[in-house]
Amino acid sequence: MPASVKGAVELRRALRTYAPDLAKETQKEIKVAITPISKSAKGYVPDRGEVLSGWLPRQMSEGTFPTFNPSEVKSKIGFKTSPSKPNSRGFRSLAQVFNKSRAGSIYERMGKKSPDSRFVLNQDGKFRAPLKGKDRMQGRLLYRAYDENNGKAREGVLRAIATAGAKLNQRATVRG
Amino acid sequence: MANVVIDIAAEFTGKKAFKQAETATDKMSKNVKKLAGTLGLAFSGQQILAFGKASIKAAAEDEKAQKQLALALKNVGLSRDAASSEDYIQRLQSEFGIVDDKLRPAYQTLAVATRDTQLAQQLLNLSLDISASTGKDLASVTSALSKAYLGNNTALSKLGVGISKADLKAGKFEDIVSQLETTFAGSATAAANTFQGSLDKLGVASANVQEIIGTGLIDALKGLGEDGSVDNLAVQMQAVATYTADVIRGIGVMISYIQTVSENINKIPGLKTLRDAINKVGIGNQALTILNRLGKESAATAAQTGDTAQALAHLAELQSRYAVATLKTNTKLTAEQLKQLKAARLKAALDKAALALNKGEEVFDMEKIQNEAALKSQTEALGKATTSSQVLQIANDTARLNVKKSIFALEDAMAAKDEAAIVAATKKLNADLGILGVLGMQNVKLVDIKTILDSLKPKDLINLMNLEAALASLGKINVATGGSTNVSSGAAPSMPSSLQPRPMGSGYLTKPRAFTNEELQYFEDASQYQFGGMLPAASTSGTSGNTIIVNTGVGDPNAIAEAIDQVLTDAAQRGTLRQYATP
Repeated sequence: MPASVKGAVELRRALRTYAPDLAKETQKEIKVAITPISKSAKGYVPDRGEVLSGWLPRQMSEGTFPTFNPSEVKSKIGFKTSPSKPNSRGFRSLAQVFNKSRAGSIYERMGKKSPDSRFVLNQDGKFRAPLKGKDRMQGRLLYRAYDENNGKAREGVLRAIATAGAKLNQRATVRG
Repeated sequence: MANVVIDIAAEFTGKKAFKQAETATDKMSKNVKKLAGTLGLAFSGQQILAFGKASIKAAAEDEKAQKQLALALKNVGLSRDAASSEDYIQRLQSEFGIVDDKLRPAYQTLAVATRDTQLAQQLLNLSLDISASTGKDLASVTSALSKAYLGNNTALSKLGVGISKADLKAGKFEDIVSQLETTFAGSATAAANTFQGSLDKLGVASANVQEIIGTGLIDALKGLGEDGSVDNLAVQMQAVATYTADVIRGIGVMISYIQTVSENINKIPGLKTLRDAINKVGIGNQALTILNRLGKESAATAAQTGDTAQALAHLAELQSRYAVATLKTNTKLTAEQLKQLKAARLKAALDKAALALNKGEEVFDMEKIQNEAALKSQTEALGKATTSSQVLQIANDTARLNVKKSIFALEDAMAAKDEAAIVAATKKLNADLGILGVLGMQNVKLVDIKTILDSLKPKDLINLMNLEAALASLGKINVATGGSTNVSSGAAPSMPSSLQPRPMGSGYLTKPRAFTNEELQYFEDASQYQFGGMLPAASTSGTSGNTIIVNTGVGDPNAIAEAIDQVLTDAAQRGTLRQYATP
């Protein structure tokens, strides 16, 4: 579960308007905090030799099942440091890490619902990567990296926001 | 797409904002509606009646609440403060925009608990501040304060006013109140000065207006005769309401004028004197004073002759009569509406059927179908065309078909009497005719070219069709020169059908075959018939002779012989003469 904070979106907006240098600094700090997760997740992407040969890209591809191209999967693992739009429940995320490729998503969570499927068994037979995390946030790439980060990224993001708020208040007080 | 996304930190912003916006909009619309209703804007007769009833009820309830408060104050020994308490409540409601219906019970609770008017008013002020600041309703805050005054601090601690349980338990009530007054000082005033507070004040004003009108209505209904119909009452009330609204607007305009003029009037001595004189005489106030006196006298009389319940009963009776009359009118209207609805449904069904029929006619319009088919075939032919002349011909045909199609469209439009469609179809037809004209000119040129090319084509030298004519001409020449013919007395042999020329495309080219006896006989007869008289007669000795003419001098025979010999020798050397006999 993400940490829920109050007033951070407004703070980011105020920073952009009244203290652009602080806004950039905050963004950099957030980036420093969450980059390790995406880097680790990219490191967990298996090479071509570690996935089933039939899953690799080929000239005559049958059907629409996404093939596993390691470089594509790595390129679509990343992070976002600006606030998102509100989701259906009214929450806006302040920082995100994501794994957006189809093959990457499959590799991330395959076997969670059907661990005995032929595909999963074959893949595990060739290269077994551990599922890490808890409950719904359990996976092989991003969730694993997030789990192994032990909340450092979250603390870093919150610290960056808190620091920016304090600095902004300090400036306002001094000038006012 | 099933993306894997982890939100590191999030903020809840969405639904709360929506809810706040919804609440604010609802409150505002309710207050505006109340105000519009009170000032009699856009009222129908039925609404006027309903408003009148509501006003009477509001006035009655207000009167009841006043009496209850007075009774409660009397019971706790504060009857002498009843009038001042009522004034205090009226001041509060106009100052903070809170209706007296809420203030009276709150004040009553505190007064009963404290039995002290001054303290009750102090606590009510504090309750208003706490309520405005915390968002709790006034009733629960006053209840908590009154309980705290009596020694029960639980409710006060639950309010969340920033005082710990230990402090509440240890501290005196006066200290707690002092602390609360410090914490929430000015909250109610600040809230009243916001936009929402202004709307609340308007709402309170409208509620008061309703109560005042209701009081007047109670008196008016008591004097209404039995024969006075509700309709008339409603119409008159509507007229009065409209008139009142106009007067209110006029007052607003007048106030603005007065404000403008008052600033300058003191600077002009004559005008100032005149204004003072008018004020002293009181011409403008006289009419209002008379009306006011009449109203007061009427109110006093009404108070003597009856009560509110009687007026309400009278109104209920009148309303029931009005309802019966309205029901009858509505029933008539409903029957008429049913007829109209039935007719409209029938018309709609007929229109639908006519539309379907038109569609059916279009389906079976053979001319159109053929035209469309021809257009389609032209399109297919265009794909197969290889030369520009073919393309031009196809374009010509297509243009003609398009003209035909445009004519059909124009006919349809004329039948439908659709002006726009007729204009459009005419325009399209003209455009198609223009295209056809251009193509037609090119066609003429093409035909000319074709004629020229045909004239340049060589005639057939051997043609079965003209061969007979040629042979007949030769025969005539032969007869004229005295030659004989073997078949002059007989008819020309007839050609067998197998040798007759056939039309193109009917298997003209066939496998090679041997001539039949009939055909061979025909060839023999024909040769004799045509060439028999012309050919030299066959030598009976079996040899044939050739005459060679040698040009030489006359006289010396040897020279002639040598010349002949030389010619023959040369011929032999050339190979053209292989054998010759010496003379």
